[in-house]
Amino acid sequence: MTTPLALDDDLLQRFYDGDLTPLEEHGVQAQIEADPAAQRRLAELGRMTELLREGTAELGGKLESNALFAAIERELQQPSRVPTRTRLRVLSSEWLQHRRGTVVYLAGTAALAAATLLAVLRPSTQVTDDNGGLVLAPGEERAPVVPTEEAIALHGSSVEDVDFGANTGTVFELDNEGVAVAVVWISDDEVP
Amino acid sequence: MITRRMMIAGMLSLPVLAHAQETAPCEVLVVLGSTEGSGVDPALDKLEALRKPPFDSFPKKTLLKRVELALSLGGETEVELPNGRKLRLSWVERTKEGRLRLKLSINKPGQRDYLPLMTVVAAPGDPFFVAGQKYEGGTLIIGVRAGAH
Repeated sequence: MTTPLALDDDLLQRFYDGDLTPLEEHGVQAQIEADPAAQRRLAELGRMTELLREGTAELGGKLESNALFAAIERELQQPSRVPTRTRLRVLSSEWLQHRRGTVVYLAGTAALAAATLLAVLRPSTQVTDDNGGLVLAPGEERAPVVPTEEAIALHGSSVEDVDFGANTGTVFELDNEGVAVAVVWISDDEVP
Repeated sequence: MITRRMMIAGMLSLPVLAHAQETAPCEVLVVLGSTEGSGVDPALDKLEALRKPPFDSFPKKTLLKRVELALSLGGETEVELPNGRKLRLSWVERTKEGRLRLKLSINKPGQRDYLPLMTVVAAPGDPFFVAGQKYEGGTLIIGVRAGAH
């Protein structure tokens, strides 16, 4: 029997980001389901994700290529924007370097975590807290819809490794109706 | 004279040959995204990802080039891009889940590589994109789909 991990904000963030092992993720999900406060904190993460998505869509509407790239980089570095796992998932080149060789696994668990989160956050009737964040009804029965890792592995695209050379680059994962679409965006300083 | 040993050796080599000759269809789309003007090429309608951020920041998307290839497992192919660079694509392997592991690079002969190398794994028919190259006041968006159209 394993000892439950302390359900602090760091652990919730790692759960949200999909950085836990499947076993840890399973345990944390069970803890969350039994902890209304943790559910509220997760709901807040979801709300911030939505804000970030809206912000990204807004900035995307008015910028040209390199400005957009720069804006995405800035968005990544905003300390006030907590979630790194969003519908527009941005992975920095540094992140890729750091996680080299484990990207596929992490992408898979991230998708699993996201799906898990959606299952946790999908109440049959939506309830909001004082701040407008989604929370779960106490004692609510839910039927988690968690795709198997096999199903996740069969769809979408993901970047395993990238060498940007002398350029600066970013890796995105767009969520296209639940299917990850890998995007590599590279700056272009050369005048053709 | 063909001996039994030669026949057995030949039979053993058959799977290797079949493996080496495996091919997969591949489609490369070169799109110019622009903030000037509007309108999206109807040929891009099926690529829903291009309607999402950040690609939706380009109200005008023009399909500059569409190339259909047959990727050979272990082989390499090149596509010339409108800016003179070359996209080099190779199919490394089919994963046990049936996805395709591809390697891609973009460079111009005699010049510094733009994208030295990337490795991507994609389900058959699911696209991935490489964007950011400047071209004629816009941005090139390269979409690749392999394994199925």
